[in-house]
Amino acid sequence: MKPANLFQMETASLIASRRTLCIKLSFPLLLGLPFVFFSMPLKARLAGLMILIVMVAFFGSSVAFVRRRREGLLGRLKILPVPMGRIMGDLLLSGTVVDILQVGSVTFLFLLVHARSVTLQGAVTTAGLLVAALLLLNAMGILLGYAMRENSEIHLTGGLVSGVIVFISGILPLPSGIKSMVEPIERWNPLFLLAESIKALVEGRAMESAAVFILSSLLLCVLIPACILRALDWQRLVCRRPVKTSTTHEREAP
Amino acid sequence: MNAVEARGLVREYKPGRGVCGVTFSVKEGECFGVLGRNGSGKSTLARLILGLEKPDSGSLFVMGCGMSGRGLSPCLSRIGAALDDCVHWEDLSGWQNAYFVARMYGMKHDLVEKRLKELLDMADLGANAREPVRSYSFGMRRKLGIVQALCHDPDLLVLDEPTIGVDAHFLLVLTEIVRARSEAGRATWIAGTDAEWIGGLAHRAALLDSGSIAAMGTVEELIREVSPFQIVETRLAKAALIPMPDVAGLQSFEQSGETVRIIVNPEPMLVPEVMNWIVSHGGEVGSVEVRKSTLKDVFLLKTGRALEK
Repeated sequence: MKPANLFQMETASLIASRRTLCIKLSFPLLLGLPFVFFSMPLKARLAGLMILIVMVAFFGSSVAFVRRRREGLLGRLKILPVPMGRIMGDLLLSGTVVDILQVGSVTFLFLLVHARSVTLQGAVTTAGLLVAALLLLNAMGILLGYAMRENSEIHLTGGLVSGVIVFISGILPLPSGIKSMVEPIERWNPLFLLAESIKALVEGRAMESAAVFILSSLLLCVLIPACILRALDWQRLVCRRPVKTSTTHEREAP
Repeated sequence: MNAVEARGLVREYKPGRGVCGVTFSVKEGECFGVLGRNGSGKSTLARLILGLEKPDSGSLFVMGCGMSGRGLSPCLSRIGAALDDCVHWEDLSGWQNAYFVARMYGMKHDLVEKRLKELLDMADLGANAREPVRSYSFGMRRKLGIVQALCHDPDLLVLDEPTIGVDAHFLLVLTEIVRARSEAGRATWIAGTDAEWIGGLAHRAALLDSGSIAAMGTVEELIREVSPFQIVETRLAKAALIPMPDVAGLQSFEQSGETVRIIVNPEPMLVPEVMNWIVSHGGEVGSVEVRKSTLKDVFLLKTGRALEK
Protein backbone atom coordinates (compact mmCIF):
# COMPACT_ATOMS: atom_id res chain seq x y z
CA MET A 1 0.00 0.00 0.00
CA LYS A 2 1.21 3.49 -0.89
CA PRO A 3 -0.28 5.84 1.72
CA ALA A 4 -0.96 9.27 0.26
CA ASN A 5 -2.77 10.76 3.26
CA LEU A 6 -3.04 10.27 7.00
CA PHE A 7 -6.25 8.23 6.74
CA GLN A 8 -4.50 5.75 4.47
CA MET A 9 -1.40 5.82 6.67
CA GLU A 10 -3.39 4.97 9.81
CA THR A 11 -5.36 2.26 8.02
CA ALA A 12 -2.20 0.78 6.48
CA SER A 13 -0.56 0.84 9.89
CA LEU A 14 -3.47 -1.15 11.36
CA ILE A 15 -3.40 -3.89 8.74
CA ALA A 16 0.40 -4.02 8.47
CA SER A 17 0.82 -5.92 11.71
CA ARG A 18 -1.30 -9.08 11.96
CA ARG A 19 -0.64 -9.26 15.69
CA THR A 20 -1.94 -5.73 16.34
CA LEU A 21 -4.92 -6.35 14.08
CA CYS A 22 -5.79 -9.60 15.86
CA ILE A 23 -5.53 -7.99 19.30
CA LYS A 24 -7.52 -4.93 18.24
CA LEU A 25 -10.34 -6.99 16.77
CA SER A 26 -10.46 -9.92 19.15
CA PHE A 27 -10.20 -8.03 22.44
CA PRO A 28 -13.51 -6.12 22.20
CA LEU A 29 -15.15 -9.27 20.86
CA LEU A 30 -13.98 -11.27 23.87
CA LEU A 31 -15.10 -8.52 26.24
CA GLY A 32 -18.49 -8.36 24.54
CA LEU A 33 -19.16 -12.10 24.39
CA PRO A 34 -20.56 -12.36 27.98
CA PHE A 35 -23.20 -9.75 27.11
CA VAL A 36 -24.18 -11.75 24.04
CA PHE A 37 -24.27 -15.27 25.45
CA PHE A 38 -24.57 -15.13 29.26
CA SER A 39 -28.04 -15.20 30.74
CA MET A 40 -28.99 -11.72 31.98
CA PRO A 41 -31.79 -9.16 31.54
CA LEU A 42 -31.85 -7.25 28.22
CA LYS A 43 -31.13 -3.96 30.04
CA ALA A 44 -27.95 -5.37 31.52
CA ARG A 45 -26.87 -6.76 28.13
CA LEU A 46 -27.42 -3.36 26.49
CA ALA A 47 -25.66 -1.50 29.32
CA GLY A 48 -22.65 -3.81 28.95
CA LEU A 49 -22.55 -3.33 25.19
CA MET A 50 -22.77 0.48 25.51
CA ILE A 51 -20.03 0.57 28.18
CA LEU A 52 -17.85 -1.47 25.83
CA ILE A 53 -18.51 1.04 23.04
CA VAL A 54 -17.60 3.96 25.33
CA MET A 55 -14.41 2.27 26.49
CA VAL A 56 -13.25 1.32 22.99
CA ALA A 57 -14.18 4.54 21.22
CA PHE A 58 -13.80 7.28 23.84
CA PHE A 59 -11.18 5.89 26.19
CA GLY A 60 -9.25 4.26 23.34
CA SER A 61 -9.09 7.39 21.20
CA SER A 62 -8.08 9.65 24.11
CA VAL A 63 -5.27 7.31 25.20
CA ALA A 64 -4.11 6.86 21.58
CA PHE A 65 -4.03 10.64 21.09
CA VAL A 66 -1.85 11.21 24.17
CA ARG A 67 0.43 8.32 23.12
CA ARG A 68 0.82 9.86 19.66
CA ARG A 69 1.77 13.19 21.21
CA ARG A 70 4.20 11.60 23.67
CA GLU A 71 5.89 9.67 20.86
CA GLY A 72 6.26 12.90 18.87
CA LEU A 73 3.98 11.77 16.05
CA LEU A 74 1.73 14.81 16.39
CA GLY A 75 4.74 17.11 16.29
CA ARG A 76 5.88 15.31 13.12
CA LEU A 77 2.44 15.84 11.58
CA LYS A 78 2.38 19.49 12.64
CA ILE A 79 5.41 20.36 10.53
CA LEU A 80 3.82 18.92 7.40
CA PRO A 81 2.17 21.48 5.11
CA VAL A 82 -1.29 20.08 5.78
CA PRO A 83 -4.01 22.00 7.63
CA MET A 84 -4.47 20.83 11.21
CA GLY A 85 -8.19 20.35 10.51
CA ARG A 86 -7.42 17.76 7.85
CA ILE A 87 -5.00 15.95 10.15
CA MET A 88 -7.59 15.81 12.93
CA GLY A 89 -10.31 14.84 10.43
CA ASP A 90 -8.22 11.95 9.15
CA LEU A 91 -7.40 10.83 12.69
CA LEU A 92 -11.09 11.00 13.60
CA LEU A 93 -12.22 9.16 10.47
CA SER A 94 -9.60 6.41 10.71
CA GLY A 95 -10.25 6.00 14.44
CA THR A 96 -13.97 5.66 13.76
CA VAL A 97 -13.43 3.08 11.01
CA VAL A 98 -11.24 0.99 13.33
CA ASP A 99 -13.85 1.27 16.08
CA ILE A 100 -16.60 0.23 13.66
CA LEU A 101 -14.61 -2.94 12.99
CA GLN A 102 -13.98 -3.45 16.70
CA VAL A 103 -17.44 -2.93 18.19
CA GLY A 104 -19.44 -3.45 15.00
CA SER A 105 -18.59 -7.15 15.13
CA VAL A 106 -19.90 -7.42 18.72
CA THR A 107 -23.06 -5.47 17.86
CA PHE A 108 -23.63 -7.61 14.76
CA LEU A 109 -23.20 -10.81 16.79
CA PHE A 110 -25.55 -9.43 19.46
CA LEU A 111 -28.26 -8.75 16.86
CA LEU A 112 -27.65 -12.09 15.15
CA VAL A 113 -28.29 -13.93 18.41
CA HIS A 114 -31.03 -11.79 19.96
CA ALA A 115 -32.89 -9.80 17.25
CA ARG A 116 -36.32 -11.22 16.45
CA SER A 117 -36.72 -9.55 13.07
CA VAL A 118 -34.50 -7.00 11.37
CA THR A 119 -36.11 -4.57 8.96
CA LEU A 120 -34.13 -2.42 6.55
CA GLN A 121 -35.18 0.70 8.47
CA GLY A 122 -34.12 -0.84 11.76
CA ALA A 123 -30.78 -1.97 10.38
CA VAL A 124 -30.02 1.44 8.80
CA THR A 125 -31.06 3.27 11.97
CA THR A 126 -28.89 1.04 14.16
CA ALA A 127 -25.90 1.28 11.82
CA GLY A 128 -26.25 5.06 11.56
CA LEU A 129 -26.57 5.48 15.32
CA LEU A 130 -23.57 3.22 15.93
CA VAL A 131 -21.50 5.34 13.54
CA ALA A 132 -22.79 8.57 15.12
CA ALA A 133 -21.96 7.34 18.60
CA LEU A 134 -18.49 6.22 17.55
CA LEU A 135 -17.77 9.51 15.75
CA LEU A 136 -18.91 11.55 18.73
CA LEU A 137 -17.02 9.44 21.25
CA ASN A 138 -13.87 9.53 19.12
CA ALA A 139 -14.10 13.31 18.78
CA MET A 140 -14.59 13.67 22.54
CA GLY A 141 -11.65 11.33 23.15
CA ILE A 142 -9.40 13.42 20.89
CA LEU A 143 -10.52 16.59 22.68
CA LEU A 144 -9.75 15.09 26.07
CA GLY A 145 -6.41 13.79 24.78
CA TYR A 146 -5.63 17.29 23.54
CA ALA A 147 -6.19 18.71 27.01
CA MET A 148 -4.16 16.06 28.86
CA ARG A 149 -0.38 15.72 28.79
CA GLU A 150 0.68 12.51 30.46
CA ASN A 151 -0.33 8.87 30.11
CA SER A 152 -1.21 8.64 33.78
CA GLU A 153 -3.41 11.75 33.51
CA ILE A 154 -5.35 10.42 30.56
CA HIS A 155 -5.91 7.01 32.14
CA LEU A 156 -7.38 8.56 35.28
CA THR A 157 -9.35 11.33 33.56
CA GLY A 158 -10.42 9.08 30.69
CA GLY A 159 -11.82 6.52 33.11
CA LEU A 160 -13.64 9.20 35.04
CA VAL A 161 -15.14 10.88 31.97
CA SER A 162 -16.13 7.48 30.53
CA GLY A 163 -18.12 6.95 33.74
CA VAL A 164 -19.82 10.32 33.33
CA ILE A 165 -20.70 9.56 29.68
CA VAL A 166 -22.23 6.24 30.68
CA PHE A 167 -24.04 7.97 33.55
CA ILE A 168 -25.65 10.72 31.42
CA SER A 169 -26.52 8.29 28.64
CA GLY A 170 -29.33 6.78 30.67
CA ILE A 171 -28.19 3.23 29.95
CA LEU A 172 -27.79 2.43 33.63
CA PRO A 173 -30.67 2.54 36.14
CA LEU A 174 -30.64 5.95 37.85
CA PRO A 175 -32.53 7.35 40.87
CA SER A 176 -35.69 9.16 39.72
CA GLY A 177 -34.37 12.60 40.80
CA ILE A 178 -31.28 12.30 38.65
CA LYS A 179 -33.12 10.56 35.82
CA SER A 180 -35.32 13.63 35.27
CA MET A 181 -32.16 15.72 34.88
CA VAL A 182 -30.60 13.29 32.41
CA GLU A 183 -33.74 12.75 30.30
CA PRO A 184 -33.46 15.94 28.18
CA ILE A 185 -29.94 14.88 27.09
CA GLU A 186 -31.04 11.34 26.22
CA ARG A 187 -33.12 12.49 23.25
CA TRP A 188 -29.97 13.81 21.54
CA ASN A 189 -27.58 11.22 22.82
CA PRO A 190 -26.65 8.73 20.05
CA LEU A 191 -25.54 6.20 22.65
CA PHE A 192 -28.96 6.17 24.32
CA LEU A 193 -30.69 6.13 20.94
CA LEU A 194 -28.46 3.25 19.81
CA ALA A 195 -29.44 1.25 22.88
CA GLU A 196 -33.08 2.01 22.15
CA SER A 197 -32.69 1.01 18.52
CA ILE A 198 -31.04 -2.32 19.42
CA LYS A 199 -33.72 -2.88 22.04
CA ALA A 200 -36.39 -2.32 19.39
CA LEU A 201 -34.77 -4.87 17.06
CA VAL A 202 -34.51 -7.42 19.89
CA GLU A 203 -38.18 -6.87 20.67
CA GLY A 204 -39.08 -7.31 16.99
CA ARG A 205 -40.14 -3.74 16.20
CA ALA A 206 -38.60 -0.76 14.45
CA MET A 207 -37.77 2.50 16.23
CA GLU A 208 -40.68 4.86 15.86
CA SER A 209 -38.75 8.08 15.25
CA ALA A 210 -38.57 8.93 11.54
CA ALA A 211 -36.16 11.78 12.27
CA VAL A 212 -33.62 9.37 13.76
CA PHE A 213 -33.94 7.14 10.69
CA ILE A 214 -33.44 10.06 8.31
CA LEU A 215 -30.46 11.44 10.24
CA SER A 216 -28.89 7.99 10.49
CA SER A 217 -29.31 7.44 6.74
CA LEU A 218 -27.84 10.88 6.03
CA LEU A 219 -24.85 10.20 8.24
CA LEU A 220 -24.15 6.92 6.47
CA CYS A 221 -24.59 8.66 3.10
CA VAL A 222 -21.89 11.18 4.12
CA LEU A 223 -19.49 8.89 5.97
CA ILE A 224 -19.26 6.06 3.44
CA PRO A 225 -18.31 8.36 0.50
CA ALA A 226 -15.94 10.27 2.82
CA CYS A 227 -14.13 7.05 3.65
CA ILE A 228 -13.98 6.06 -0.02
CA LEU A 229 -12.64 9.51 -0.93
CA ARG A 230 -9.87 9.31 1.66
CA ALA A 231 -9.08 5.66 0.97
CA LEU A 232 -8.36 6.23 -2.71
CA ASP A 233 -5.34 8.04 -4.11
CA TRP A 234 -7.11 10.26 -6.61
CA GLN A 235 -3.92 11.74 -7.97
CA ARG A 236 -2.70 8.31 -9.07
CA LEU A 237 -6.12 7.28 -10.36
CA VAL A 238 -6.94 10.43 -12.32
CA CYS A 239 -3.57 11.85 -13.38
CA ARG A 240 -1.75 8.86 -14.83
CA ARG A 241 1.30 10.33 -16.50
CA PRO A 242 4.61 8.86 -17.65
CA VAL A 243 7.58 9.08 -15.25
CA LYS A 244 9.44 12.35 -15.66
CA THR A 245 13.14 12.29 -16.31
CA SER A 246 13.81 15.84 -15.10
CA THR A 247 15.81 16.15 -11.89
CA THR A 248 14.00 19.23 -10.65
CA HIS A 249 11.34 18.43 -8.11
CA GLU A 250 8.07 19.80 -9.25
CA ARG A 251 5.62 20.55 -6.49
CA GLU A 252 1.90 20.92 -6.47
CA ALA A 253 0.51 24.20 -5.23
CA PRO A 254 0.06 23.80 -1.46
CA MET B 1 15.29 37.64 2.07
CA ASN B 2 16.88 35.57 4.83
CA ALA B 3 15.71 31.98 5.24
CA VAL B 4 15.69 32.44 9.03
CA GLU B 5 15.72 35.73 10.91
CA ALA B 6 15.66 35.50 14.70
CA ARG B 7 15.92 38.50 17.01
CA GLY B 8 16.10 38.31 20.79
CA LEU B 9 14.39 34.92 20.80
CA VAL B 10 13.43 33.76 24.30
CA ARG B 11 11.86 30.41 25.21
CA GLU B 12 12.70 29.40 28.74
CA TYR B 13 11.30 26.30 30.42
CA LYS B 14 13.09 27.24 33.61
CA PRO B 15 16.11 29.47 34.26
CA GLY B 16 19.05 28.13 32.25
CA ARG B 17 16.97 25.76 30.09
CA GLY B 18 15.73 26.69 26.64
CA VAL B 19 16.95 29.71 24.72
CA CYS B 20 17.47 33.17 26.12
CA GLY B 21 17.76 36.19 23.81
CA VAL B 22 19.14 34.48 20.71
CA THR B 23 19.73 36.57 17.59
CA PHE B 24 20.92 35.11 14.29
CA SER B 25 20.05 34.88 10.64
CA VAL B 26 20.48 32.27 7.94
CA LYS B 27 20.90 33.58 4.42
CA GLU B 28 19.67 31.81 1.30
CA GLY B 29 22.27 29.33 0.11
CA GLU B 30 23.98 29.37 3.48
CA CYS B 31 24.72 26.44 5.76
CA PHE B 32 24.45 27.66 9.35
CA GLY B 33 25.68 25.47 12.19
CA VAL B 34 24.75 25.66 15.85
CA LEU B 35 27.15 23.97 18.22
CA GLY B 36 26.34 23.36 21.85
CA ARG B 37 26.47 20.86 24.65
CA ASN B 38 23.47 18.72 25.58
CA GLY B 39 20.75 20.91 27.08
CA SER B 40 22.21 24.12 25.67
CA GLY B 41 18.97 24.90 23.78
CA LYS B 42 19.72 23.57 20.26
CA SER B 43 16.60 21.42 20.01
CA THR B 44 14.45 24.21 21.47
CA LEU B 45 15.81 26.49 18.77
CA ALA B 46 15.02 23.88 16.09
CA ARG B 47 11.48 23.50 17.45
CA LEU B 48 11.04 27.28 17.46
CA ILE B 49 12.18 27.52 13.83
CA LEU B 50 9.66 24.83 12.87
CA GLY B 51 6.83 26.52 14.76
CA LEU B 52 6.44 23.59 17.16
CA GLU B 53 6.94 26.01 20.03
CA LYS B 54 6.11 29.65 20.38
CA PRO B 55 8.73 32.08 21.70
CA ASP B 56 8.05 33.85 25.00
CA SER B 57 9.45 36.99 23.40
CA GLY B 58 11.49 38.14 20.45
CA SER B 59 10.78 37.88 16.76
CA LEU B 60 11.28 35.04 14.33
CA PHE B 61 10.76 34.94 10.58
CA VAL B 62 11.20 31.69 8.68
CA MET B 63 11.08 31.85 4.86
CA GLY B 64 9.37 35.21 5.28
CA CYS B 65 6.62 33.91 7.58
CA GLY B 66 6.29 35.37 11.05
CA MET B 67 4.89 33.84 14.19
CA SER B 68 1.68 35.88 14.26
CA GLY B 69 -1.53 35.14 12.34
CA ARG B 70 -1.29 31.85 10.45
CA GLY B 71 2.25 31.40 11.67
CA LEU B 72 4.49 29.18 9.58
CA SER B 73 1.63 27.34 7.84
CA PRO B 74 2.05 29.07 4.45
CA CYS B 75 5.79 28.28 4.41
CA LEU B 76 5.83 24.72 5.73
CA SER B 77 5.91 23.25 2.22
CA ARG B 78 9.30 24.96 1.72
CA ILE B 79 10.82 23.53 4.91
CA GLY B 80 12.19 20.05 5.54
CA ALA B 81 13.16 18.91 9.00
CA ALA B 82 14.71 15.98 10.80
CA LEU B 83 14.52 16.44 14.55
CA ASP B 84 16.51 14.54 17.13
CA ASP B 85 13.62 12.14 17.87
CA CYS B 86 13.04 9.53 15.17
CA VAL B 87 9.28 9.32 14.82
CA HIS B 88 7.89 6.86 12.33
CA TRP B 89 4.91 4.53 11.93
CA GLU B 90 6.66 1.46 13.28
CA ASP B 91 4.54 -1.21 11.59
CA LEU B 92 4.93 0.33 8.15
CA SER B 93 8.02 0.06 5.99
CA GLY B 94 10.65 2.77 5.69
CA TRP B 95 9.55 3.28 2.11
CA GLN B 96 5.90 3.76 3.12
CA ASN B 97 6.89 6.25 5.83
CA ALA B 98 9.00 8.27 3.41
CA TYR B 99 6.38 8.01 0.64
CA PHE B 100 3.67 9.37 2.96
CA VAL B 101 5.78 12.37 4.02
CA ALA B 102 6.75 13.16 0.43
CA ARG B 103 3.13 13.02 -0.73
CA MET B 104 2.14 15.29 2.14
CA TYR B 105 4.55 17.84 0.67
CA GLY B 106 2.53 17.73 -2.53
CA MET B 107 4.97 15.71 -4.61
CA LYS B 108 3.53 13.66 -7.45
CA HIS B 109 3.53 9.86 -7.19
CA ASP B 110 5.93 9.21 -10.08
CA LEU B 111 8.40 11.78 -8.88
CA VAL B 112 8.27 10.47 -5.30
CA GLU B 113 9.12 6.94 -6.45
CA LYS B 114 12.13 8.17 -8.42
CA ARG B 115 13.40 10.56 -5.75
CA LEU B 116 12.92 8.08 -2.91
CA LYS B 117 14.82 5.35 -4.71
CA GLU B 118 17.68 7.78 -5.27
CA LEU B 119 17.78 8.99 -1.65
CA LEU B 120 17.24 5.60 0.00
CA ASP B 121 20.05 4.12 -2.08
CA MET B 122 22.31 7.03 -1.13
CA ALA B 123 21.50 6.40 2.53
CA ASP B 124 22.19 2.68 2.15
CA LEU B 125 18.58 1.94 3.03
CA GLY B 126 17.54 0.66 -0.39
CA ALA B 127 17.81 -3.00 0.59
CA ASN B 128 15.80 -2.51 3.78
CA ALA B 129 13.28 -0.02 2.41
CA ARG B 130 10.43 -2.54 2.32
CA GLU B 131 11.01 -3.81 5.86
CA PRO B 132 8.97 -2.44 8.77
CA VAL B 133 10.64 0.42 10.63
CA ARG B 134 10.20 -1.68 13.77
CA SER B 135 13.12 -3.80 12.56
CA TYR B 136 15.41 -0.80 11.89
CA SER B 137 18.40 0.10 14.02
CA PHE B 138 18.68 3.55 15.60
CA GLY B 139 21.02 4.76 12.86
CA MET B 140 18.70 3.51 10.12
CA ARG B 141 15.79 5.36 11.70
CA ARG B 142 17.88 8.54 11.83
CA LYS B 143 18.82 8.17 8.18
CA LEU B 144 15.20 7.56 7.22
CA GLY B 145 14.24 10.78 9.04
CA ILE B 146 16.85 12.73 7.08
CA VAL B 147 15.72 11.13 3.80
CA GLN B 148 12.17 12.27 4.59
CA ALA B 149 13.41 15.80 5.23
CA LEU B 150 15.33 15.88 1.95
CA CYS B 151 12.76 14.25 -0.31
CA HIS B 152 10.95 17.39 -1.47
CA ASP B 153 14.21 19.35 -1.83
CA PRO B 154 13.17 22.08 0.62
CA ASP B 155 14.35 25.67 0.48
CA LEU B 156 15.23 25.43 4.16
CA LEU B 157 16.51 22.21 5.70
CA VAL B 158 16.54 21.96 9.50
CA LEU B 159 18.66 19.13 10.92
CA ASP B 160 18.89 18.58 14.65
CA GLU B 161 21.80 16.34 15.69
CA PRO B 162 22.11 14.65 12.27
CA THR B 163 25.42 12.99 13.13
CA ILE B 164 24.15 10.98 16.09
CA GLY B 165 23.96 7.26 15.34
CA VAL B 166 24.68 7.47 11.61
CA ASP B 167 27.69 5.96 9.87
CA ALA B 168 30.64 7.88 8.40
CA HIS B 169 29.61 7.00 4.85
CA PHE B 170 26.21 8.61 5.28
CA LEU B 171 27.82 11.71 6.79
CA LEU B 172 29.94 12.06 3.64
CA VAL B 173 26.80 11.70 1.50
CA LEU B 174 24.99 14.26 3.63
CA THR B 175 27.93 16.64 3.36
CA GLU B 176 27.76 16.42 -0.44
CA ILE B 177 23.99 16.93 -0.42
CA VAL B 178 24.22 20.00 1.83
CA ARG B 179 27.01 21.48 -0.33
CA ALA B 180 24.96 20.91 -3.49
CA ARG B 181 22.00 22.57 -1.77
CA SER B 182 24.09 25.62 -0.91
CA GLU B 183 25.25 25.89 -4.50
CA ALA B 184 21.62 25.77 -5.59
CA GLY B 185 20.81 28.64 -3.22
CA ARG B 186 19.05 26.56 -0.56
CA ALA B 187 19.60 27.20 3.12
CA THR B 188 20.51 24.59 5.73
CA TRP B 189 20.36 24.95 9.51
CA ILE B 190 22.23 22.28 11.45
CA ALA B 191 22.50 21.85 15.20
CA GLY B 192 24.78 19.37 16.87
CA THR B 193 27.76 18.56 19.01
CA ASP B 194 30.07 17.30 16.26
CA ALA B 195 32.35 20.34 15.90
CA GLU B 196 34.53 18.67 13.30
CA TRP B 197 31.70 17.84 10.91
CA ILE B 198 29.82 21.10 11.39
CA GLY B 199 33.07 23.07 11.20
CA GLY B 200 33.90 21.49 7.86
CA LEU B 201 30.44 22.05 6.42
CA ALA B 202 28.95 25.26 7.78
CA HIS B 203 29.61 28.69 6.30
CA ARG B 204 28.83 30.31 9.62
CA ALA B 205 28.41 28.87 13.10
CA ALA B 206 27.00 29.94 16.43
CA LEU B 207 28.22 28.53 19.74
CA LEU B 208 25.25 28.05 22.03
CA ASP B 209 25.82 27.79 25.76
CA SER B 210 23.04 27.70 28.37
CA GLY B 211 20.56 29.14 25.89
CA SER B 212 22.70 32.08 24.78
CA ILE B 213 25.03 32.55 21.84
CA ALA B 214 28.58 32.74 23.16
CA ALA B 215 30.13 33.44 19.77
CA MET B 216 29.04 33.61 16.16
CA GLY B 217 30.72 34.12 12.81
CA THR B 218 32.23 32.28 9.91
CA VAL B 219 34.09 29.14 10.95
CA GLU B 220 37.38 30.75 9.82
CA GLU B 221 36.70 33.88 11.88
CA LEU B 222 35.92 31.87 14.97
CA ILE B 223 39.01 29.69 14.64
CA ARG B 224 41.16 32.76 13.98
CA GLU B 225 40.18 34.01 17.42
CA VAL B 226 41.80 30.95 18.98
CA SER B 227 44.70 30.53 16.57
CA PRO B 228 47.01 32.94 18.43
CA PHE B 229 46.86 30.52 21.35
CA GLN B 230 48.48 27.14 21.81
CA ILE B 231 46.07 24.22 22.06
CA VAL B 232 47.64 21.56 24.23
CA GLU B 233 46.07 18.14 24.66
CA THR B 234 47.61 16.14 27.46
CA ARG B 235 46.92 12.53 28.25
CA LEU B 236 47.67 11.49 31.81
CA ALA B 237 49.28 8.13 32.43
CA LYS B 238 47.74 8.11 35.89
CA ALA B 239 44.44 9.88 36.42
CA ALA B 240 44.36 12.49 39.16
CA LEU B 241 42.12 15.48 39.69
CA ILE B 242 44.27 18.47 38.80
CA PRO B 243 43.26 21.87 40.21
CA MET B 244 43.12 24.92 37.91
CA PRO B 245 46.78 25.93 37.35
CA ASP B 246 47.81 29.24 38.84
CA VAL B 247 49.81 30.21 35.76
CA ALA B 248 49.70 33.61 34.09
CA GLY B 249 48.84 33.30 30.40
CA LEU B 250 46.54 30.31 30.84
CA GLN B 251 43.29 30.86 28.89
CA SER B 252 41.41 27.66 29.58
CA PHE B 253 41.90 24.39 31.45
CA GLU B 254 39.46 21.51 31.10
CA GLN B 255 39.95 18.01 32.49
CA SER B 256 37.89 15.04 31.45
CA GLY B 257 39.19 11.87 33.10
CA GLU B 258 42.66 11.25 31.77
CA THR B 259 42.47 13.94 29.11
CA VAL B 260 43.39 17.55 29.86
CA ARG B 261 42.76 20.27 27.28
CA ILE B 262 44.63 23.49 27.82
CA ILE B 263 44.61 26.76 25.91
CA VAL B 264 47.59 29.02 26.69
CA ASN B 265 49.20 32.15 25.30
CA PRO B 266 51.89 31.46 22.67
CA GLU B 267 54.81 31.86 25.06
CA PRO B 268 57.41 29.06 24.88
CA MET B 269 57.73 28.54 28.65
CA LEU B 270 54.03 28.30 29.38
CA VAL B 271 53.54 24.66 28.30
CA PRO B 272 56.37 23.30 30.51
CA GLU B 273 55.08 25.47 33.36
CA VAL B 274 51.59 23.95 33.14
CA MET B 275 53.11 20.44 32.85
CA ASN B 276 55.09 21.10 36.01
CA TRP B 277 51.88 22.14 37.75
CA ILE B 278 50.19 18.89 36.67
CA VAL B 279 53.10 16.78 37.89
CA SER B 280 53.34 18.69 41.16
CA HIS B 281 49.64 17.96 41.79
CA GLY B 282 49.90 14.19 41.41
CA GLY B 283 49.40 13.87 37.65
CA GLU B 284 51.69 11.67 35.57
CA VAL B 285 51.96 13.04 32.05
CA GLY B 286 51.66 10.31 29.43
CA SER B 287 51.70 12.37 26.23
CA VAL B 288 51.52 16.01 25.21
CA GLU B 289 50.27 17.23 21.84
CA VAL B 290 50.22 20.82 20.64
CA ARG B 291 47.78 20.96 17.70
CA LYS B 292 45.85 23.19 15.30
CA SER B 293 42.79 24.89 16.76
CA THR B 294 39.27 23.74 15.87
CA LEU B 295 35.74 24.84 16.69
CA LYS B 296 35.95 22.65 19.79
CA ASP B 297 38.72 24.89 21.10
CA VAL B 298 36.73 28.00 20.26
CA PHE B 299 33.86 26.57 22.27
CA LEU B 300 36.16 25.84 25.20
CA LEU B 301 37.65 29.31 25.07
CA LYS B 302 34.32 31.11 24.76
CA THR B 303 32.31 29.11 27.27
CA GLY B 304 34.99 27.76 29.58
CA ARG B 305 33.57 24.26 29.06
CA ALA B 306 34.45 21.49 26.63
CA LEU B 307 31.88 20.71 23.92
CA GLU B 308 32.03 16.99 24.60
CA LYS B 309 32.94 15.13 27.76
